[in-house]
Amino acid sequence: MIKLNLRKKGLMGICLALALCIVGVGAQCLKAAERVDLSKPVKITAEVDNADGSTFATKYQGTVTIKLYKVAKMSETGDLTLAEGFENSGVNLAVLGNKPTVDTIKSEIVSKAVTASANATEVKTLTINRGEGESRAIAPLSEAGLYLYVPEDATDDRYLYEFTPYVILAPESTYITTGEGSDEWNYNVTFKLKASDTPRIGKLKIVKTLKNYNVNLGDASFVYEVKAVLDGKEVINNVYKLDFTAQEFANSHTAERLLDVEFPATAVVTVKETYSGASYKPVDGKDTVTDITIVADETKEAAFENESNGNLIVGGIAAENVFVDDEDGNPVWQDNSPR
Amino acid sequence: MKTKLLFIIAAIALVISTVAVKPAMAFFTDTIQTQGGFKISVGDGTPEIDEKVEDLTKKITIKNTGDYPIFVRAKAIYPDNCTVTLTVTEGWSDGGDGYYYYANPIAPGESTPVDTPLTLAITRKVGDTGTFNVIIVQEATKVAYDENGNVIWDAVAISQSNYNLGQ
Repeated sequence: MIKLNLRKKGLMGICLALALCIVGVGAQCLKAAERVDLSKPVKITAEVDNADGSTFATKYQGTVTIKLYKVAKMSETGDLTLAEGFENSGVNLAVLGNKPTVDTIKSEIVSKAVTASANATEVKTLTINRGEGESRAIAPLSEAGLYLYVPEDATDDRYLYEFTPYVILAPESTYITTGEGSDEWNYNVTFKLKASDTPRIGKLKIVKTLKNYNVNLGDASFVYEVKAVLDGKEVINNVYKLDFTAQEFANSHTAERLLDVEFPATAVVTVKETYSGASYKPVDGKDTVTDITIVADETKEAAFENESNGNLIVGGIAAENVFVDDEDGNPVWQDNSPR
Repeated sequence: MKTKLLFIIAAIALVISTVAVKPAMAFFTDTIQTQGGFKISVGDGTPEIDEKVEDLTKKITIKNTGDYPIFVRAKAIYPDNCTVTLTVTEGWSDGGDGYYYYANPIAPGESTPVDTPLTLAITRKVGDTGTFNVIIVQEATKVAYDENGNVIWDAVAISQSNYNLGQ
C-alpha cells in the first residue's frame, strides 16, 4: 500500500503527467485539506485537442478506441493499492513518492501495467468518432484510483497513428499535477490524446509482356520513367529498367519487376516506357499507364505489352546506375547493378 | 541453232543466278518460328557494356561478343531532375537523336577504345535531393560490306539511320 502522502498545501506534491504533458514536480507529501470522497463518482475524459495542429487532430476521420484499466484503488486518505489483475504485475507504486520522472513512471508503472492489461478486464472502453465531429469521450467510474489508459493504434488511407499509453489519477488536484494551486480534489479528470503519425506505403510492379520475342537478338532491357504525385507535389521521379530473358518468354511471355521504392499511400503514379527495347515497340502505341493510385500495404501494377518491330538491332541488358546522397547531400554513385 | 544456243545460255544463267541468290536469301531470311518468336541468322553477338563512374562521370566501353563486326551506339536515360552531357572523345559523337555513336566498326572480340571511352558527365539539378538512376543502354547492328569486302560508309550510314539489314 502506497501513501500518496497528502500534506498541507505549501509542500511539494506528487505529480503524475497527464497524457504526454509532463510536469516534473517533486513528489513529496501533500496532505489535502479534505479526504477523498469515495462515494463520489469520478469521470475520466479522453480528449482530442483540435487546436494542436497535428496530423491526427486535423486529418484523421476514423474512430479512436481507448481502454481504461484500474491499476490501483485509492483510499480516502489517498493510499494506493494495486487492483485486481495487477497484484502480480510488478507495478511499482512506490516510485510515486520519489519525484518520479516520466521515464520512471513509464518503466516502473506504465509498461508493466500494459503487459498485465493483456490478461485484465478493462473497466471502460471509450470511443471517439472523429468522422462524426466528436472530440471527447467520457467514462463515468465508480471508484477512485490510478487508471491506465491504452489508446489503440488507428489507420486511415495515408497514416498509421500510434498513441502512448499512460496513467492518470482520478480524482486528482491541481496541486498534485502542477505543484501549485488548489489541492481541492477534482473528480472530473481529463487526458489529451496525442499520436505520432507514420506515412503508410505501397508498392508498384512493372509487368512486361512480349507478343513475340526475337531469340537471335537475345535478352532485352526496357526502361520506364516513374513519377508519383502526392498533394500536388511530385514525390518520386526516377527511371527503372526491366530485363527480359529468353527463359521468361518461354515460361510465360512475361517479365516483371517489383520496384524497390516506398510509394506514399494515395500518391498517384504515372509510368511511361521511355525505351522499348532495341527492336521492339509498344503494342498499339500504348507506352504510358496513368492514374495508378497507391494503396497502403498493397502492390499496384503497371502493365505494358510490346512486340517486335522487325529491326535487327541487338540490345542486351542495360546498366542501371544508382546515385544516392552522401552525408553532405551530394549525389554519389552507389552501384551499377544490372538486374 | 543460234536460238537453241541462246536458250541454253539463258538457262545456265538462270541456274547460276538462282544458286547465287539462294545463299544470300538464306542469309537474310532463314527463319524459324519458335514459340511465337522468330530466329534470324545474322549473328547473335550481344554488345557488352563496361562502365566506370568517377566523380559523377561515366566512362563507357562496349565490347563485341559476337561473330560479326558491328557498329555500336549508346543512350543514357535519366529522370528530368538531372542532366547528362557528352564529353567529346575521339570516335564518339552525339547523333542528335538521343544516341551517342561510335564511328568505327568493332571487330568480334574487340571493344571500343579504353583510352577514349564514351564519357558522360552527370549533373543533378540544383536544389534537388534524393536517389536517382541513370540507365545506359547499348545497341549494335551488323556492319554492311560491299562486294569487295570493304566497309561501305554509305551503307554504314544507312545502317546507322535505319538499322535494317538488306536495305
